[in-house]
Amino acid sequence: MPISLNDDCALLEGYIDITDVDILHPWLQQNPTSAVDVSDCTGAHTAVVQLLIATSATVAGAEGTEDWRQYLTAGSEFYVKEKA
Amino acid sequence: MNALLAQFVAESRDLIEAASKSLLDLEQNAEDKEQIDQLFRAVHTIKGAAGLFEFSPLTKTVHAGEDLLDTIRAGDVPFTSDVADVLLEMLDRCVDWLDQVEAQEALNDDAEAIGNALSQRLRALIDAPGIGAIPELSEAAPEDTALPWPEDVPALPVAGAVTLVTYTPSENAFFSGDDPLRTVQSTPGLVWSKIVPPKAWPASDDLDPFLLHIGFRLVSTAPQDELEAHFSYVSDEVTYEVIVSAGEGSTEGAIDEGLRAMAEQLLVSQRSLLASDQASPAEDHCTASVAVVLQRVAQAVSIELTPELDSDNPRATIEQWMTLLGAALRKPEPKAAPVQTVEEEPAEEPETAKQTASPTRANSHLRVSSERIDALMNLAGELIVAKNAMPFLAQKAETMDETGELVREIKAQHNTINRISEELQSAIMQIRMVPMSTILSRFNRLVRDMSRKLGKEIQYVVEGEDTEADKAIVDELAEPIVHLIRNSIDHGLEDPVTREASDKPRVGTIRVKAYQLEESVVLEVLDDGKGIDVDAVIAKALERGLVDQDKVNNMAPADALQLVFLPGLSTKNEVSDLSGRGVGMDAVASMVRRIGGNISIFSEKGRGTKITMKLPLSMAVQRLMMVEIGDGLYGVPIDRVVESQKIKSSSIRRHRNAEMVVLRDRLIPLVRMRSLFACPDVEDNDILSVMVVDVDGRESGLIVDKFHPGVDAIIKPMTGVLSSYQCYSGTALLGDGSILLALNLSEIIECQYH
Repeated sequence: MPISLNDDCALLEGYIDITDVDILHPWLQQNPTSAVDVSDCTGAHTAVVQLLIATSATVAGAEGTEDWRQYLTAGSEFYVKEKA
Repeated sequence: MNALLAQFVAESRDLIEAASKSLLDLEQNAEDKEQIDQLFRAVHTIKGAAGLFEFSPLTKTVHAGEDLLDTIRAGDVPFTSDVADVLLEMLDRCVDWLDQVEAQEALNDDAEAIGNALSQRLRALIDAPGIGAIPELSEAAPEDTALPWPEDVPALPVAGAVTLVTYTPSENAFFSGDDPLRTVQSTPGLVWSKIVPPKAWPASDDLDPFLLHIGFRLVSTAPQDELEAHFSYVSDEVTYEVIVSAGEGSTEGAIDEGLRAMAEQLLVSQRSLLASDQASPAEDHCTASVAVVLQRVAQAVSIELTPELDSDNPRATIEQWMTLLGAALRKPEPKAAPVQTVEEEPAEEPETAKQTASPTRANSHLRVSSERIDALMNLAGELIVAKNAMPFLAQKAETMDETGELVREIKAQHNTINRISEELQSAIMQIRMVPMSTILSRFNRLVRDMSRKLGKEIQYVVEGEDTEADKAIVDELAEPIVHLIRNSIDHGLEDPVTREASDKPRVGTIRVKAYQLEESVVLEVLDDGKGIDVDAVIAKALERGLVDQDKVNNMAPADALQLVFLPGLSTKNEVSDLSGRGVGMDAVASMVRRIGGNISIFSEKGRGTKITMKLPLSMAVQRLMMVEIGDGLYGVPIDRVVESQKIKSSSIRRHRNAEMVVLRDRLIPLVRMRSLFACPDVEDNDILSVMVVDVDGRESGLIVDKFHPGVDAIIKPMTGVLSSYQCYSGTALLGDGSILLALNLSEIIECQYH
């Protein structure tokens, strides 16, 4: 199961597909202030990213990353890291 | 031909076919944006693929066509029939060139000149007065047209001009399976991207998470045509701007970023090409091609390659060149730190990018050459023939095996092998089945060109194009249908004025209808033209001596119409260059009969003509009914057999030389096969075996010596000296090793009367 939910945190692991929005959306409605932890999330469908931004979800584990999770930080911007 | 080239040829052919179809549809409705996009994409893909190989006339011509389409897409050039003419000519030329590539892996010497002339004509349409020419994307200097760096885009570590892409996917993008973020993340040369939120988000409760609300802005260093290729499937949702940062100094001495990125990519691809082809027989070819690519890259970035290519050990030189180029292409350190600095750690970015790209979708289709399927089909056929030997084996065992146990076992095994081989055959048949649309859609072009040439207005309607039949049958059908359509346009359909005068719609219709009927596929070609003048046909047939007056007197009008299938009959007085000299219908009939089909014609004067062809679904394994004539075994296709009867010789009625019998209230003419095959007469038998067969809708009774059981057989066409014996359609090998001659019924019935 890529999403584990409890009252104070949603833990996203692996790739989160568009179908998972069905689970995540109601949870975010019920727990608008709880955190969504993406530390172990390797990828997500556009719909998932959009949902997290639209609901202003409190995202943990995105700050300081260099992959797609940058979109979940303030400004929703993504910078490609210069290859060494 | 190497596999890559073969794939290019096959794919390009498909794309050309799709492009032709879009062009013809566009002619009907020039406003159809969808078709323009499809057409553009097809041409763009051909251009891209052609660029991989050194067929510059092809690439150049298609590039010109693509540019023309781009201006049409932008609404700068109207789509007219003249434009369609040139574009169709371009596609025809591409087909020619692909033929050349397939035959000799190169283009003819005149290709360059032809390509240049054609590109000029295509470009002339773009540059027509009053119409702004579109610069060639890959050749235009981006700095010249670059816009200043927008405020919402942060300063980025890039040199020179880059492309800013604004991608606004449609609200329903998810429903068409798109994942726009993935498209953005996999953009070539991506440097930066940003999610653009909507002006106002709906409240969390009202939010429909399956509708897309966001858009994207991104900056890429890749050349614009590469970006266009990447976004080709969402081309109408994407805009491009070339931007350059305000403080950007002269880039003199440094390599342009776009160029550098491209050169670097080329270097990487050449490396992997070399690595992948180590032990391949194509190695020489491969190293030579890598050498050429490297020389061109070096030329483009103004680097001199040393040493000279060592022909004895090209790989070593290439390795040296790669090191040299690699060093030259290494990016200089950015002078001023950008606003957003990124830590210089060994990145795991490629890894994550791969994961983000989610599971790869496996291609569920295989492109297999038809020869391989044919080989498989032949083997399955052989298996069926071999299986036929088992009943003979059982018969033989019966004489030796008293308990009957062995016979039972052989029969049981026969049943099992029978079932498996039938399943195998039908599985292979399924592979070989192709829809009729593969040929029917091609004739759009024929109808268009001919109607323009003759000044007639014609619409071409296809019904049941999804009807499937064996590929061999479908391929064989193309030629007869061309003849029939040409005949309809040339002889059948009237010009608009005549049509209006006779209260018909201005636009004539040619309708091709395909459907399946039992084990056959039926194809009808109908037109609403002036129909066939039966009296004229009869008069012509008499004049040419093809029939005699006697026969004509006894002919029903429907039968008289079938005379058009006789060799050498043309009812149109002047010979036209479109449908020839009246050999058409005869040729059509013989082509259809050759593949085991039959053909009939129905026409009403002033109303139109309908030609019906009934063909077997497959040509491979056929069920034959065996008959014995004068000690020889012959096969008759079972679908032609109406019934088998024993009749009393006293029931035969005679009229002059003709013999006939009344069966179930039908008068059936008889053919004595023994005398036709010049077998010695036997003493008169009171009971005769008659096999009633249907040939082109007419029934005849064949008097044979004996009926034998049916058999599954593969009929091979007669070859060598035997091929001139028209009364046999081919030979088949029987399970006991003997040869069965398959009868060509149309010819046998004809023989009877001549």
